[in-house]
Amino acid sequence: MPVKYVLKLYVTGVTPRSQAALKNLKKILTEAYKGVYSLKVIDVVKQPKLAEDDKILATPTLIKILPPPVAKIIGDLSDREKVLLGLDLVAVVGGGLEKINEETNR
Amino acid sequence: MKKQTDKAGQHKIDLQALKESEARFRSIVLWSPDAIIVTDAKGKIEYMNPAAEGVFNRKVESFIGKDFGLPLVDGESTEIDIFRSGKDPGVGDMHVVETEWLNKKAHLIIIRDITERNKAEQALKKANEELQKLDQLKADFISTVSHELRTPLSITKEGISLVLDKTAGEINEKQEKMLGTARSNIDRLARIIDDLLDISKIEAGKVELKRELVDIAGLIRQVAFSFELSLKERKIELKVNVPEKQLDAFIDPDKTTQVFTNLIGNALKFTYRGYIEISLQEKEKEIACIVADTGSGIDQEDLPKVFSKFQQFGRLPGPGEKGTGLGLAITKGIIELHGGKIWVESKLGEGTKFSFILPKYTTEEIFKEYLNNGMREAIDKKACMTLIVISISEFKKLKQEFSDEKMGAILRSMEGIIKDTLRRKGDVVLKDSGEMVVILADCDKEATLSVENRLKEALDKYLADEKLSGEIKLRFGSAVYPDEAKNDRELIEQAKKG
Repeated sequence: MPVKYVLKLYVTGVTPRSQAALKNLKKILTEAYKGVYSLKVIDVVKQPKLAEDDKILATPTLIKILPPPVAKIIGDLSDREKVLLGLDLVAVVGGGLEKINEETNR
Repeated sequence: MKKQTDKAGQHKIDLQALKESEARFRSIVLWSPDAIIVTDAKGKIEYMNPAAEGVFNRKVESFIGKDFGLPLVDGESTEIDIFRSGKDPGVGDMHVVETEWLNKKAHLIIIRDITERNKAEQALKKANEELQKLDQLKADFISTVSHELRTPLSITKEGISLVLDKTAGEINEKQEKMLGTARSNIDRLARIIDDLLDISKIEAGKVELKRELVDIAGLIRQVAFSFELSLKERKIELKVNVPEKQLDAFIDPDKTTQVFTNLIGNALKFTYRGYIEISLQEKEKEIACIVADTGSGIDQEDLPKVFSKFQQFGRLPGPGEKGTGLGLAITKGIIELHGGKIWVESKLGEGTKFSFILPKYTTEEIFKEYLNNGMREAIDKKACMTLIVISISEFKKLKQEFSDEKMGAILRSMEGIIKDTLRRKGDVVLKDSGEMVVILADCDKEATLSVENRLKEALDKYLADEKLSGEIKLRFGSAVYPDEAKNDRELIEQAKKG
């Protein structure tokens, strides 16, 4: 059974930080992991209610919903090692996460 | 009893000291304008200072115990977007320090609100980009406009010339005179456009000099010759005070000719009797030139404006072409592009003297410029260029055997032979180390080898004729850019290897 990751990335419009986080995340997801992922990108400006519900204070914020436990990281995700560690993501050499679903509401 | 009281008293003092210390540190945190947040190792908020309320536009109570998240900071700090419910998002500078809180691993997070500073930075960045775009537009505008102006101008001139040539039918004297005036004014307009284009390019820094080693004495003599007729007509003497022998200067020949033409032309316009004198002098680090006349001179008041654009002074010029008011501005621009300086001295009624200096360059500097020009051209045209190095074995020893002078003469002869063999298709530099360097454009390896052979033949023949074959041994090496080298250093190294 392939591991399935469910991720939510909160960003603020198209600030340089938002763009960097998106770029870095895509890179991490396509380069190093075996498994499938579902990513939802939420713009706090367009959907502030969702941000409030998730108690977002600052962006970029990446939330890993599945597999448990829930993890929340803040920053532009440029330090790959720290991101992996923070999300409890296991690095597997020579694979990429297969995209099963990607939604962007920006 | 006393001991117990002391103990109690000491205890009270310690407690007081602790309270004061705690009050001090508490006030630092309470009064800090930056948001201070303490989270546990997992990101749960343990403490938030009052400033955080302002930064996040939320009450502190609503966040204690909630999940802030794990702040990932690469290095010292990172920028984040601050989410403020009900307000526009802000920008923050987030510092994170791993510390302890109640003996457990914790994160100390300090967030400074830099929204205003960020706005100012963005505005500055945008203004900069606008300025760069404007600069580019200006340069494009100048060349487009000149082109657009020239086309209708030349069509108009064509039409007038055809009528004047009576191609469109007979014309009477009055018509001829009017059309003649019209045509010479079109010519004047064309000159103004050319000069405008010249000065705009100079000011925009878009002029690239094509420098080579040129006999400047000879150049001056040529320009002077072109003015001979006008000078004879006006009965003005031209004194050319220039050394008889060759004086090589590293200059752009076309632009330098423009300078002398402008200066002598000006002198001619404002001189009605007497003479115009051109002098050339070689100094240690520079070459000095003077164009002086016994003309009407310039008023002290007007002297500072001499090199400005569109300045034409009081005096009515003599017969001949009317100026554009840009000549001296262009002349100054060209001299300064060459790394030189120009200035003027004058007295009303007595005459004017323009002086300028051009710096001298070492053969090494000249070589570097030829090499870089060649490489740049190769990149622009997506072609290749070649460096051929001809060195003399044991040059130092030979210099001692023959005298410095004789060696110099031999080298110059060989340089001449190389130039003749190349038939003006490349640049040749004679280096102080006794190496002769050739730079050829548009030359692949095959062509290079064939040139090398031709040069070898010609030089061997020379040495044989001079009976020097025994003493002087030549070594040939070449390298092609970009095929065999990636930069100038590699190119030189490769070529020297032979």
